[in-house]
Amino acid sequence: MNTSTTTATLAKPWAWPVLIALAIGLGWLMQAQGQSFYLSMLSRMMIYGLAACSLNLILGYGGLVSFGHAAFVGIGAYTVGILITEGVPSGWIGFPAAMLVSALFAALIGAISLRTRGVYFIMITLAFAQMVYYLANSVKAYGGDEGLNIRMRSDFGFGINLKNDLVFYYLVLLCLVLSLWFMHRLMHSRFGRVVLAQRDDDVRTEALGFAVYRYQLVLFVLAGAMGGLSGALMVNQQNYVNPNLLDWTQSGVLMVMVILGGVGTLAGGLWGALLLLTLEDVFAEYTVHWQFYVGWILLAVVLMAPKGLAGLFQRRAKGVQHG
Amino acid sequence: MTWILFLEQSLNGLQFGLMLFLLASGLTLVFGIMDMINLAHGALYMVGAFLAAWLVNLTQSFLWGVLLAVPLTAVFGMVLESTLLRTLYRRDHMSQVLATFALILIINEAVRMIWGSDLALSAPAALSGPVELLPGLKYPSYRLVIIGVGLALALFLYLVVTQTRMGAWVRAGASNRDMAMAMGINIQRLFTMVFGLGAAMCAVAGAMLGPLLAVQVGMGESILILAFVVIVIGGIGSIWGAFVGSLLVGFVDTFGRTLLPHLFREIFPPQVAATAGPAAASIMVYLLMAVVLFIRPQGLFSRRA
Amino acid sequence: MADPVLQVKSLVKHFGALCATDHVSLDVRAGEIHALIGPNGAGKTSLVAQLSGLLASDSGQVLFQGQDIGGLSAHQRVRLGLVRSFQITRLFKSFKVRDNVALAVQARTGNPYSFWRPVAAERALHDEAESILQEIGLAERADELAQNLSHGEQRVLEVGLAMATAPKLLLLDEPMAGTGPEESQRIVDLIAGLKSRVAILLVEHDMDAVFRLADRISVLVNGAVIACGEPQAIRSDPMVIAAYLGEEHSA
Repeated sequence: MNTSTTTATLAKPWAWPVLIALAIGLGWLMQAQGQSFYLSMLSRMMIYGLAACSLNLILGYGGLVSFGHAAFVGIGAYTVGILITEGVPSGWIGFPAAMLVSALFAALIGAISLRTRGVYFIMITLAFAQMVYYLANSVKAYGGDEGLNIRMRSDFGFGINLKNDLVFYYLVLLCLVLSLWFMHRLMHSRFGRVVLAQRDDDVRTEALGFAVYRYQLVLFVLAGAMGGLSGALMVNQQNYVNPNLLDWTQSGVLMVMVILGGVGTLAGGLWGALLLLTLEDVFAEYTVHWQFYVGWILLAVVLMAPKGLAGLFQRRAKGVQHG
Repeated sequence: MTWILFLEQSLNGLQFGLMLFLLASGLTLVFGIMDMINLAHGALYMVGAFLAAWLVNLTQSFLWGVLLAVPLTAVFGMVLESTLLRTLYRRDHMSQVLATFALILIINEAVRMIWGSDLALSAPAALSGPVELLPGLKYPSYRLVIIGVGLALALFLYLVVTQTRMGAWVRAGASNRDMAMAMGINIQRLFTMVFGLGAAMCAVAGAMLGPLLAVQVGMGESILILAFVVIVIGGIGSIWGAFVGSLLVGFVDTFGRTLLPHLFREIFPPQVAATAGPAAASIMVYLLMAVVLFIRPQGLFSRRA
Repeated sequence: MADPVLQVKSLVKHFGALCATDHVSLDVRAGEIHALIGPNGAGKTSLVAQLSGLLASDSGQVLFQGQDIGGLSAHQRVRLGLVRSFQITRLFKSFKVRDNVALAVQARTGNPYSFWRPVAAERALHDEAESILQEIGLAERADELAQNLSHGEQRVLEVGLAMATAPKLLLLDEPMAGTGPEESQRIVDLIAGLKSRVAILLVEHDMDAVFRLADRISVLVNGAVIACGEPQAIRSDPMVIAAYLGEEHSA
């Protein structure tokens, strides 16, 4: 697993502003060229990137292998979807609500799950996520297993029309950048230090006087809230939410993105999402069995480059990489 | 709820629980001895079901189809273990999760490429009728056979684990792997055999449940979660825990699905009952797990050192 | 005379049929170094685990500064000032040496859940960490990753981490485990320097260090304390010699 204590992904301080500027420019360019298909494809990739980054928070930085993260994404999506269906289309209510409800579920699930360790923790988070999946499936009023269609996107007022692909793209970009900035500040703060410490050795961290369980729980809730945000964006992007979004195989997909992009790095989830979704699209052109090939690639990556692709490119100043 | 219905549902719960046990026992041993998460365990169940369906069609005999599918699946499992899974034992849990997740993708698609998305498998004609167990209680004979097979295999496993030398090694390994290795037990070979046995049991479950639950790609994943719940409740590494857990989950799930909607319709207005009933039914098992974990985070019968 | 900082009263712990802690009673006074010695398997590790809160005792009492700490968790005991070091090194391997110490200082100062301010900007925190590093002699290695230190240096850091939490009582679990003579000396000097500032319960095998440092020695054999007193008395106690010292000083 990646062991960077500082969370510098791109070494140069000007790297991020340049990237963001490029992203803004790219969006505008695509709109101007009439390539709105690619614009919405990019939006989708960034939304998954945000979801994967939120997982990286608990998994990569926290060292806690949570296998039910898709549940929080789905809960966020359903919250916004249900609100819109019930006549509350305001994004100013929907988005915070999505994050709040996801955070609540994360608090409940985390409170029980974090009392366990290792293999138990993984399976319990998995099982609880499945529970949420079955819940979503059985609530016929909101589509049940057929999913929920929403007739309009979130309304933020001020003439912001999310039906416009470029406007939506900028919203996604904004959420992504803000979330990554928050993650960056978080991991460099006192709180972040404790999180990284308990990843290395939770017993020692406790022996210094930190209540490790509480830190883990707070981290879990923050990651859940961020996942909820990505879900709110996702239901807007697809105008649709379906219980399959919460299925544990979706949690697996998020984990795949994290490992492809770099465990425990700030934007690892984003790179992984871009890579995986591109791979899927490329393979899907040639064969309906694209999962077969993606599976082999993933297997190869896990066996040979355990820190993910970002880990391959990252140079440490001194010190030996952990195995 | 009449007596007849209660007995019928009890038998259903027993039947489901026993089949779950076939999956859970192999899984708990893998976790217990090798501390490895194997998500692909459900894929073995699926492969067993597909092989059975294919062979039954080939041989035109249910019995032969199942009897051949089991050792084939066992061999497949052992090959998988000795080539790929072995390299994962030393790795961290997340790597194991991802590698076996990748395996699921590969195996699912491979099955789809060979046989298509689903195969038909029906119970043998001789067992398609009901048996009258008690006056008024008619129960499908095929399900009775499943119960019989399940009990027989459970007994067989019990005898192997408690009476044979291999079983003693397994129990030693399950409670303390390093100690077992230090005592000179060839843990590599033991483990391949245990894995093969687990794969065989998965195959039996897959083949027997095929006629009831449909043989299709992805069938492994849904039952795998329940198997996880079982061993979390029962305690990792404990076969007895897997047995108790399986029966518990089997009964709670079966009764939950039949009783709760009834109950909700009695108590709540129809609007609420229509959604709340099935919703509650589907999450009963997970609530059970949450309760058990709250009281005993390591499971009911955990023997981990 | 003031209450001893630590009072252990008739502590008992069974593991099945094995009695790991057999009605152990001892106390550690303010400013003293109280050594705990005993052959392997005597139950020293379980005792340390019980005192630090990682293992629940079956019966008995532990009083810290007069307060019963039986129900307190590990981190709560640390907050009160009861701190331990580990026999098998537990450091934050991916952190730099200075960040290891800074974390220990962070635990007892300032806002525990600060989310936003970068830790690197906290001058006071890092200055204090720096002075601790000077004291334990690792100031030159401050920017090295903890995992790159030599074993001996890691043992020093191990003690240093415990010191950095500003304890009232230090539970040192075989601090010299696996160190060569030079590094042992370093740690002995470190502990000697702490004397009279901090009460210390020192669990050790290294007899030279023990007799150099200890004000009092308790001897643990088969889970029970068979003798307790000043070093000269212990040295010449026939029971102790028979049970333990005889093996150590056979040369």
